[in-house]
Amino acid sequence: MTCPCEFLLPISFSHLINPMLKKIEVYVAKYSRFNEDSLLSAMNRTAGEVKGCELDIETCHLLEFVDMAYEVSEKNFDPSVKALVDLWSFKRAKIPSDDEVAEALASCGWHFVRWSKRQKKIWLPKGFSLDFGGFVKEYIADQLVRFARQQGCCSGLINLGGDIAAIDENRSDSPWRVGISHVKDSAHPSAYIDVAYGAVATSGSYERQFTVDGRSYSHIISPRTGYPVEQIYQSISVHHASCLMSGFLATVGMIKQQQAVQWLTSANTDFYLQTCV
Amino acid sequence: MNQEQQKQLAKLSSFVSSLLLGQTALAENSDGKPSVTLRHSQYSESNMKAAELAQGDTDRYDIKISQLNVFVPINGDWQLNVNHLAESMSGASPWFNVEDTNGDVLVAMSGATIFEQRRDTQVEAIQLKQDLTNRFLLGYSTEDDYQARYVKWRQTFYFNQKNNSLDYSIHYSDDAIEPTQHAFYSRVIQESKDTKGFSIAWSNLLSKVSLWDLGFFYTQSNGFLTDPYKQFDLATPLDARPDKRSAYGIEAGASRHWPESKVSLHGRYRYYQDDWSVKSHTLSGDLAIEFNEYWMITFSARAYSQSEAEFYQTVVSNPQTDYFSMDYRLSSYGSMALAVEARWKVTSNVFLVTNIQNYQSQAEWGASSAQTAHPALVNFSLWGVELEYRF
Repeated sequence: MTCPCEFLLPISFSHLINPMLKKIEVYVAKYSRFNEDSLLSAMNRTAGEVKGCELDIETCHLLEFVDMAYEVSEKNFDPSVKALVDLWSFKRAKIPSDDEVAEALASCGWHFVRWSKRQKKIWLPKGFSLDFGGFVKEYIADQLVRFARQQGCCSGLINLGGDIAAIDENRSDSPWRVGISHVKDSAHPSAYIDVAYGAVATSGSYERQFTVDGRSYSHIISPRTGYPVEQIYQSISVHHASCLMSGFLATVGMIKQQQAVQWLTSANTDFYLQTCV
Repeated sequence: MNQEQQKQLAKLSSFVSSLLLGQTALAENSDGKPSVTLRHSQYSESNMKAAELAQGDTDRYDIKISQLNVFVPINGDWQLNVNHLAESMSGASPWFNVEDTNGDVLVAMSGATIFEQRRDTQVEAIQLKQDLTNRFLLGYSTEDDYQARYVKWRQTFYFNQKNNSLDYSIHYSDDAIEPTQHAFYSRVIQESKDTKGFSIAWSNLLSKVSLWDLGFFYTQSNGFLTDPYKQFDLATPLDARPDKRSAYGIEAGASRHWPESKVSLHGRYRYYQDDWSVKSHTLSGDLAIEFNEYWMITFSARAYSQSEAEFYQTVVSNPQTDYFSMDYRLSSYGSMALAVEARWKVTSNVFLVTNIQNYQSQAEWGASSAQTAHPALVNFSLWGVELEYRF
């Protein structure tokens, strides 16, 4: 996982750190698109093949989550947009042509993906590839919280690349104060959110974007248009019962931009927005 | 976001919660998995002392109970729970009391002639919604001399992010009684009774590890409430009870879990009162210790105390009132029950549970001062073993 990981645990539970790191390694080995031996890479490799790719139970559950998230977000949450993400990569830092966008867009769309929970199999259309980067980090954070609680740990925080999940309140039974990084000065929080339960996840474009002719292009791509979203907000932080839901709501909020406030308000969740100045 | 999307979002949020709690249909150790459970229990009442016997057999009831439970999730919203029970019962029961020449009370037992079988089948449909659980139960129970049909509806409404719940239920039972050997003992040939009632309870989650609840219940029975087997002959009625019994009570409980030591404590109190003047108090507690992922042991204790019914008499010799009974269950007495249960997760699919219980009752522990202690107060032991397979 190419992001900083922090565990804040009572000293009596420091023995959980190694098993937790091991769990992260297992998930990374399973869902990283950069690991050729991962299950995700196997899914992408078999795109267009009739035999499809075998799944395990856990992945079936994640695909169930994707199915529902895709619907409720009106197709704004889509892990099949890897072709578009690669095209608009901030590492590439190049504006693709409209034809290139149209071509990449033709290889995206979760509604084209077939999978079966009963058969535990997925069939990706030819040219399609998946990227679980939009939710798997949040899912791992939730799983680490679950693991820590199962081991009897009832206080602590998990921080995976800025997505923060609370195992429970701190030892003084008061909520954790989670700082939201300022878009221009990550060392100094622009706000604090009190987190007694659940998680805070942030979706932002300020760390991964490129500028051409004075115009900034976000790495957040609209799966519907194939183009980076017009930025009103540079980051959205959401506090919800789980990190997975927090991340989903924040990501969709960033894609919706103009309708972000309406989306998050309707979701009945606490959120924090940072605008572009 | 329209209303439909909000419902979808709530469903998604609920799905994620289940996913992270490991309760989705395919998840390991899921409570929503189909399962089959076989349970066998053996209940043995302590024998009567020969010195307290006026006539009959000292052997009291032995009951063997076999149960089969099948649980099937139908889809995301519905579950079906089917329970079948078969009981075989043998032994003698107290019939009536007499005084000897010293004024001591002796018991006449029925003679160890009773051998009965009971079958009980329950079908329960459970509907799980976002903030609501509905339970619809239909049951049928039959013995040689008894048939009961019963129905129950229970709804639990969760709100305030499931920190609170309101649970309410209604139930109805229609029973037909056809005593055996009715001609020989001049017993009634056929009678009936019905029981209906409701309950309501409120629970409040104080924190993630503690909660309390408070409830009220009411039941009313109408019809033939007398014990037909207490009849001696036409000229000597030994049991006559009102044909209506209304009861109400309150129940309160509190639970606390200590995650670090994996210990849970649950305490409960119940107060009961009916219009036969029976009042009772029940205090119970459970201590559950989870040793590891595979083993859990629960210690339970229950203390009970009741006052006698207004028409209870230890010895009915020449009844002058409309209602009278020598039934020890209507006398003033108290009891103490201690139980231990061990739960072993053999594999991720197989669970084995064993339990033992010992129950002792005494007149001195009663809620009202007994005229004379009933000599047939029951003591019993119970053990059981249960095997569950989750698919």
